[in-house]
Amino acid sequence: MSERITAKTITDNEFFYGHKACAGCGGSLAVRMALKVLGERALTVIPAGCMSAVGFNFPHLCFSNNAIISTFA
Amino acid sequence: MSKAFLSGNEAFAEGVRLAKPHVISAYPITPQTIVVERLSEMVEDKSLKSEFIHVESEHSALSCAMGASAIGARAFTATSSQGLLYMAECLQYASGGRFPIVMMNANRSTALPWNIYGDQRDSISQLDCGWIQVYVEDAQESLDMAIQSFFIAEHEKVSTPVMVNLDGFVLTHTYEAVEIPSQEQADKFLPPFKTGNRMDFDNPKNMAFSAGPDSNMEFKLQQHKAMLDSKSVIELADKSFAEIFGRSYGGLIDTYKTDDAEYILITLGSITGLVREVVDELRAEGRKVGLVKLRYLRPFPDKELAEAVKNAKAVGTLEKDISFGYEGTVYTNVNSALIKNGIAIPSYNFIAGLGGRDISKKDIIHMFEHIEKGGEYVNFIGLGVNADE
Repeated sequence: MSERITAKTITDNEFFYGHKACAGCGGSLAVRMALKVLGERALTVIPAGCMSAVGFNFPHLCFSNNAIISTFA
Repeated sequence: MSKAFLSGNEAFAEGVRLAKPHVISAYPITPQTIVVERLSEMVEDKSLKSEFIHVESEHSALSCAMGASAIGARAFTATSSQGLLYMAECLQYASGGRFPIVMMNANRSTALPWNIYGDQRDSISQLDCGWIQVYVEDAQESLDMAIQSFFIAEHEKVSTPVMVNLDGFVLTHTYEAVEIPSQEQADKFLPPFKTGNRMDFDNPKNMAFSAGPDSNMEFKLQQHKAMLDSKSVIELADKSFAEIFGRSYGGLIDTYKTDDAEYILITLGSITGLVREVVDELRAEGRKVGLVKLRYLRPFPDKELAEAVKNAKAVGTLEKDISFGYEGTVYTNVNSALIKNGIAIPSYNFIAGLGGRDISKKDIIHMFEHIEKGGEYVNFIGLGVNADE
């Protein structure tokens, strides 16, 4: 079991930044925090929606881990 | 090498086994079912070391294959008819994402009215989806193209998915003697899949992204160029395959007695075998007829076709397809190739075999007579009622 992650111990590394989401966007904050916990070896798969629209505009690609937009489900 | 009595589906499964895909994801549909059944049995008895994923739909089958390809795995799927149409979104996604997946499609009519029998309207309706499309004639070619397609799709100049089309029932369910190559031969021909177009923990990638008006056209142009470049890779695959396995299919097209032919019928798929027989019979009567088998519809073999028919007096295109409100789509493509290459000869369209209707020897003899004597440009063959009724 890994150590508990708290506000004090959470990594300063960023995995989702520079994107086009509105300031304070809840979705982007959730993705940012989730990736800080999951770490750099997480594979991000996002369906078509806000997070894929703001994060994957070539050549402006905003995930520093492996990430992909999925097909419509 | 060994010999076995196999259906088209079973022969294709043997070819896939020799190509050793890491992932097979599929959903069953008549008349494709047997190919995935055989592959699942091979995985179960451990003669094929693949991850076999049962999915809940064709949309998921191809999405799953893309996920596998995106981490650098060799991926295979198979479908037919309604299943192919259900994965339409994923077809363009896979080609635009440059995922070199191989898919077998059992050519089957599309609803409505429902019909499980063979025609080519399913795959031809998806001609513009960015996949390489090859049509095979018999069980041996099915097995051989299962192996060759991975070579073509994964080649660094191509990186484009390949759809291998087998006529439903006529080919998928007909048994023939087939040579099964050895694993050593297959390994010599097909190198392991290597690509930079994949996720990587040391060099993370963002894939399947958006590209706006400022860069989108360049991506589409690259996709188009890769498809055009695949022509040389298709020829290379045919030659290299012949050296190792002793069988050559002619690359983009195959020709039969076209050198001095005055009247040529253009075909694709399994009907080619019967047309070859009719050519022999008419030749025995002294008539100068020949045959061009289009092996690929994308990339379209325009120059190769023009070269083969340049001395003919007239040609005909036989296809199991109709683009409602115009003509057969293969015919449209053939005529474009002729015009671009300065060949101005009469060209006729024979639409036959829709919904699995039989195409007889007599029908083919009539087609050659029509090409020779002239008449209507677009013709429906073997109608049970008068077209005017």
